[in-house]
Amino acid sequence: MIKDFANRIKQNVAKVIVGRESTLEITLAAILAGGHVLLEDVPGTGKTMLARALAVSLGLGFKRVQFTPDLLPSDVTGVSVYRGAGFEFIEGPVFTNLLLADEINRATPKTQSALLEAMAEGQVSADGETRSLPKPFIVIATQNPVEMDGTYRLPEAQLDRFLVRCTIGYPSAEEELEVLHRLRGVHPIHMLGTVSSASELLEAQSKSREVHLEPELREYIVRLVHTTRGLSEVYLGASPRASLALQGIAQGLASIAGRSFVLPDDIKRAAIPVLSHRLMLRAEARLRGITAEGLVKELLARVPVPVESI
Amino acid sequence: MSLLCLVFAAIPWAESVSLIPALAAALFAWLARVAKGSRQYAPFSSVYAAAIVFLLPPFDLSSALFNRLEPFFITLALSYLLGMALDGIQDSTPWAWLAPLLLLIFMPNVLGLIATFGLALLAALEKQQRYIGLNPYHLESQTLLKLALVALMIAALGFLLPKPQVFHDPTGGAPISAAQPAQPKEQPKLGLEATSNQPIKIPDTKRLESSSNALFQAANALLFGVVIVLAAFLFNAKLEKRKKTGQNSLWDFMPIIGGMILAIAVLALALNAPNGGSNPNVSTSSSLSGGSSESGQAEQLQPEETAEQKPTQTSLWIPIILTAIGLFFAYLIWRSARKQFLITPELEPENKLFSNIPSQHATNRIRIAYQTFLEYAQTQGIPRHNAETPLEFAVRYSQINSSTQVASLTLTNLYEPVRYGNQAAETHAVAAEQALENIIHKP
Repeated sequence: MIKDFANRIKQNVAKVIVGRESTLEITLAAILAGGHVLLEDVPGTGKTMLARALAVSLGLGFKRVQFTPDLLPSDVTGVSVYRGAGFEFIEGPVFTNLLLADEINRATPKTQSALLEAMAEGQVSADGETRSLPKPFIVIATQNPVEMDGTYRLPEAQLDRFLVRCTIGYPSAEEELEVLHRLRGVHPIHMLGTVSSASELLEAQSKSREVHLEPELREYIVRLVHTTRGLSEVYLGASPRASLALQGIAQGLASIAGRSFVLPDDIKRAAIPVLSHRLMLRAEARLRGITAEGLVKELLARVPVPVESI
Repeated sequence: MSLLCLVFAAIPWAESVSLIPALAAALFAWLARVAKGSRQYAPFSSVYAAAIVFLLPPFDLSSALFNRLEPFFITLALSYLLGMALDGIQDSTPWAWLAPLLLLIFMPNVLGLIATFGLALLAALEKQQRYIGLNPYHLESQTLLKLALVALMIAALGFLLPKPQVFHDPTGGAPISAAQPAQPKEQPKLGLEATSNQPIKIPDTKRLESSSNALFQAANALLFGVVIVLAAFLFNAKLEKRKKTGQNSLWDFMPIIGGMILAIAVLALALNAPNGGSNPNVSTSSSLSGGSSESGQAEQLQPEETAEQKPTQTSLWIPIILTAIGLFFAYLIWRSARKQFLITPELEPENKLFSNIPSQHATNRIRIAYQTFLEYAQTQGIPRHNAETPLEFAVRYSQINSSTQVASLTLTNLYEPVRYGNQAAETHAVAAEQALENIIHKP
């Protein structure tokens, strides 16, 4: 069921996004795990287009917020306005199923933090009142890692709330040719149809959580995450939320593949998107050219995988 | 089938000493294995059965002393049967080691030690059956070390077994305590001395001292209880190592607790026995170790047997063995039930790959086949890295051995649902063994 659901989404998104199947699968796995996605790459690689295509394909309510330095928290969450009889709460763009937070690192930390409660708990507190967000609630944020002027680095707490951080990367020459061919007329995003619904996504999320994870693989996940906390190159390792994220993404990837059980390969595949943005490197490590992705790769090559012992 | 094999093998063996009974045992073992559907294990089982029969000294079936060996036969046969029964759960080789241990208990001498080591070696070779067709005599240093340690442990246990002390009270007065022998005039020669052709001097008195017998029975029962506990512990430890559920509970130690209760119960039974049971091992050990030249000696011992001594010994051993087997089977049932109740993922109909045919045996066979593949790859100089997943390893292996690409990937694909999804079917076990065969006997 989930495999069929995922295939429909992938085929529909593929009408707009050429290649990038791996990124799309990780993003879908994150959505199945009920998490939020941070798409990070240089401009023009299709981050926003991917988010839009996903929103249309999933048939979810979609709103987009262009984050800028002067954006206020109330511009995201909503504001109370006085209308004769009293104050009325005008819901902000966060009250939707899929929120595209474009260039999230351009907003001030105060505005970025407005999303914390919404992302973690699916609710918004404003004017002393807590309001629930519609389900499912997914935030897909994009950010440019190169451009530093006029940007505010996302705080660790905010980063931790993103289940995965994906990069898209430049397309190959053949893929770029295909992009040119497809976009010679009307942009295909305008002709993209809906192939799923919010209820179907909720059911798929529920099924994905039931995918079997062998206890030894659970221990493998915990070992991976624990090891990040002891690395000399990092001053802040992955949190327990990272363990949960690894488990959820691995289950999501397994269900997308049509399996009813998780393989260690699923966990390994999920490790870099899940862990790399959660590792805070020491300054000297960064100066030595060490990257979080490199550290996670090193961990994956070191932590034993539970197989038969000989 | 294994039990039948040993029983049938024991009957002709009892009549005369020759290779024929051993060959008969080998044939029965072979047929048993083939009937079980594991033809590749047949050679080792045959050698194993033949060795057991051949190494035992001859015995006259009509002799009353046969009754003394009855518990031994039962124990040996049932332990082997137990090993076979547990084959679906794990390798039966550790259980095969139980039989040599009991052999040494009844033959506490050099011959027994050699026989024990030989049988342990056979058991280890049986474990190495995966090298058939590759290198039948291949034994890794690690395996040899384990084997040596187990043999030493068995030997130590066998020699530590308390020998029955039969004391002669010249005055015919009050019973003499085993702790205070009060200068016994004669003591029966046991163990190594008994292997020589010197006849054993039997005390002229026929009265057996009851308290020393009770102590002997108690010590014997305690030792057996310890063996059960150790076996249960090893079984449980291996199981836990494999499962690593992280959900240890008191129930996980049920076999150990059961074994301890059993040992205590038997100890209490032996201590409270009115006559302390018969004196089982004086004659048995001597006769076993004496070989064919001591058939006359067996007759010499026969008059000492009394009708009321036989059932006492049998009634002591059979409940122990039956209780132990009962405990293990109860554990298996419990474990199966636990697995059924705790790990029941709700699967989509199309995702129920082969869960409608849950087969523990198939699971075991596929895991053994994959483990064999890993060991074979290691001997080929392509060991799996600790951090490598089965799929990564299969890809790397097939890149090096391109001729086995299909087989190695097939075996890995069959292994993964078993290892990480608790899903297996009999047909997949056959396919996995076929894939392993293709890897090892690649063109």
